[in-house]
Amino acid sequence: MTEPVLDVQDLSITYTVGAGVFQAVSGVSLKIFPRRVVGIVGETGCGKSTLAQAIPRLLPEPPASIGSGRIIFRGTDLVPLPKRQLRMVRGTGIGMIFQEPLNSLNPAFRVYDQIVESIQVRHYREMGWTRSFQGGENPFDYSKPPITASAATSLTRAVVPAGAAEELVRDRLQSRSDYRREVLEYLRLVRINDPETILGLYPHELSGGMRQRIMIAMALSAKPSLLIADEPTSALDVTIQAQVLTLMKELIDEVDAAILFISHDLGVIAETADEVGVMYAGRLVEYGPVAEVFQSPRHPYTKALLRAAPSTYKSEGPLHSIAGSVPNLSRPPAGCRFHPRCPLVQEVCRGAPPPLDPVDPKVPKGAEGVHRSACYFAAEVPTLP
Amino acid sequence: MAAPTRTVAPRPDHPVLVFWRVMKANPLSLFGFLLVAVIGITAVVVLVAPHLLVPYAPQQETGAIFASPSWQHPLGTDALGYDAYSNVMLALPLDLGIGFAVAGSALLLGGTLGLIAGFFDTPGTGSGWLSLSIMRVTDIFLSFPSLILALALTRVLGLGVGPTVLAISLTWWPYYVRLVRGEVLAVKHLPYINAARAAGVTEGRILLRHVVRNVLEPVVVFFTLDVGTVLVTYSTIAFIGVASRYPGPQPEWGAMLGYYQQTEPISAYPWLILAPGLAVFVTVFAFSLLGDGLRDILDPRTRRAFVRSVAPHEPPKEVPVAEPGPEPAPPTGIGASDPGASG
Repeated sequence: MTEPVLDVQDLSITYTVGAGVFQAVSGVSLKIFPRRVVGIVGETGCGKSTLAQAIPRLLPEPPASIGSGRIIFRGTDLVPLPKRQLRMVRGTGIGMIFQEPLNSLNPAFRVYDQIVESIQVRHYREMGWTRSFQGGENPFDYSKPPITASAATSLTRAVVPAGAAEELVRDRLQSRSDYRREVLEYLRLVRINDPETILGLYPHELSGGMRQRIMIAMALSAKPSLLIADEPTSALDVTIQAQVLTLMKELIDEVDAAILFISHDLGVIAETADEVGVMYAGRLVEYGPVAEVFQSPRHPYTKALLRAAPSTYKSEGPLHSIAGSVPNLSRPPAGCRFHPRCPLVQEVCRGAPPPLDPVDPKVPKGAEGVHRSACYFAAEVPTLP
Repeated sequence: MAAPTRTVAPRPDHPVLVFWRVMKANPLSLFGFLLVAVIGITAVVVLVAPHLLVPYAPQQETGAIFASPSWQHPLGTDALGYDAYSNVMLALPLDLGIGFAVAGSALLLGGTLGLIAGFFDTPGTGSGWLSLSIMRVTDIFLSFPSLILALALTRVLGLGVGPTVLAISLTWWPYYVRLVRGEVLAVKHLPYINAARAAGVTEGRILLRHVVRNVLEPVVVFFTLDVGTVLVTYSTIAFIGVASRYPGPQPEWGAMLGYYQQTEPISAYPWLILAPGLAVFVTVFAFSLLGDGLRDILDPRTRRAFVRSVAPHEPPKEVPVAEPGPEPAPPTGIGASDPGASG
C-alpha cells in the first residue's frame, strides 16, 4: 500500500477570542493518498476552511491554536515545526488556492511577476540554493550540495570543454526568457487565451474567473505534492464557476498532486472528488467514496443536507431546511454535536461522541477508503425521509 | 449560433507614453512636475555656475539703498544696499537641500522603524516587544510639538545650518513611523500577503517586496508634501534668528524674512518681504502639486484609468477562436498560416 501524502490525526483547533474559546475543529482524522481528490463539505462555520488553512499552518496563531493532533505530510509532522521549516513546506510541498480571487493577487504586480515568484521559489529549491522540504526521515536535508551560479561557472570552466560547460550552467540557471516561457506554459495550462498579453496586465484589469485561473497557475507552478483548494469557486458567479470547475476537473488528471477540495456546494464536490468528508460543527461526521456517501448517506446530518440542497431539475414544492440551528462552538453540545437537531436522537447520543466507524460491521475498523459514519444509528439512517 | 469568441486585451503601452498621458489628463500635476523641474534645474545652475543667474555676491554693496525693483535689481535692494534677487536665488539650493535632507533622513529612519513595528508585531514575542518599544518612543517624541522640540534641541546642538538640520531631523521621523506602520498594518492582513506566504515566499521578501510596494504610494506622496513642510519649519526657526543669519555669506529665505520684517517698514518696501516669502510659497506649492501627481502615477489603478479616459485607446475586442484547444495551433500545414485561405 502506498504511503498517504497527508495524514491528519485527531486534529483539534481552537480560536481564543476575548474570553471565549471556540472549538473550530475537533478530533478530525483524514488521509489523502497520491493523486486522489478528497472533498470536504459542510455549512458555513463548520470548520472546513479552518482545517484547510491549518494544514500548511497558515492560520494566525494566536488567535488560533492547534490543541492536539498531528498533521503528517510526507512522513513529517508539521505541528511541532518551527516557522523557518514550515516555510520550506509551503509552495513546493503544499500549494493553496484561496477563496477570494479578488484579493489574493497583489494589486501592484503584473501577472508575470506574480507567477514568476512562485516558479522562482521552486527553482531555487530545486537547485539547492535555498533549503527545501524533502519529506521522509530527514525532511530538511540537502539532497544536492548547494551550488551557486558563480561556483557552477568557475567549476565547469576549469574542467570541461566550453560547450559542455555552457550546457551544464544552462541546466542550473534560468534566464528571464526561460522564466517567461515557463510562465506562458502555466497560463496555457489554465486555459488562458492570449497569454502574452495577460502577462503584462495588473489583477484589477482581469475578470474574477481570470484571476482565479492565475491563482491556480501560481499554485500549480510550484509543483506541489498536495494542493488545497479552499472554496475556489465560491466567490465566482455561476457561469464562471462552471468554467473554473471544468478546468479544475481537467487539471486533476493532468497534474501529479493530491488535492483537498473544500466547498459548501454538494454538486461541486460530487463532480470533482473521489472521496468526501462531511463536516458538522467542527467534527467529521461521515466519510467515504463520493458515490456511496451521496447515494446512501449514513449520517442523519448528511441525509438532511442532501435533502436541503435545491435541485435544478425538479420543483417539488417548498425547500427543505434542517430544523434547529448550528450550535455555538464555544459551548458545543455534549456527545454527538448533531443530537439537538437529530430525528433519531436517543439517550446514548448525549453521552460519548460516536466514533467514525465503517458503516459495514464486517469491515475492520482500520480499513482505508471505506464508507464511515459517526452515528450510533447509522443503519437506521436510510429509513429517514 | 454565433461563433465562439475570445477577448483580446489591448497591449500595454510604453511607460513613458503612459506617464505623458497621465500628465496630460491632469494639467495641474503636470504644472507641478514642470515647476519642480524648473526649481531643481535653477538650484543646480545656481550651485554650479552662479554667474549665469546671480548678478551680485550675497554681501556685495551695490551703492543703491532701498532701490525699487528695476532691471538692474529685479527685487530691489535692502538697507545695506545688498541685491535682494541675488540673495533669494543663492538661498534656493540651501533651502531645497534642507528640505530633502530632513525629509529624506526622516523617511529612511522612520520608514524603517515603521516597517518593523508594523510587520513584526506579534504580541508576547521578542519582535512584539521591539515593535512595542519603537511605538512608545515614537509616542514620546510625538507628544512634544516638533517645532518647540527642534528649537530646544538647537540650544543643545548649537547654532548654524548643520545643527538645525540635525535638530529638525531628530523631531521629524516619528510621523513616518506612524504613517508607515499604519499602512503596513492595513496591508499585512490582506489575502494576497497570506497567498504569498502560502507560496513559500520568505517573510523578509514578503515585507520588502509585497508590503513595501503597497505602502509606497501614500509614503512617497507624504514625503513630497513634507519637503515643503520642512522648508516652512526651517524658515520659521531661521525667522526667529536661531538657524541662519542674514545678512551673511550664505543667505536663507527664513532668515531674510526675519531680517526684513525687523528692519524695513513693509508698507514702504513690500517687495523685500514678498521676495523670500514668495520663494517659500512657490517651492512648497510646487511640491504639493507634484505629490498629487505622484499619487496618480504610482497607483496602477488610477494610472490605467487615466490612460483610458484620455487616449483614444484600443478597446478589448472579440476575435473568433481558431479551435477549442488551450493553445492556438501552430501553422503546420500548407496554407494554414495564409490569412486569405479562410476567407
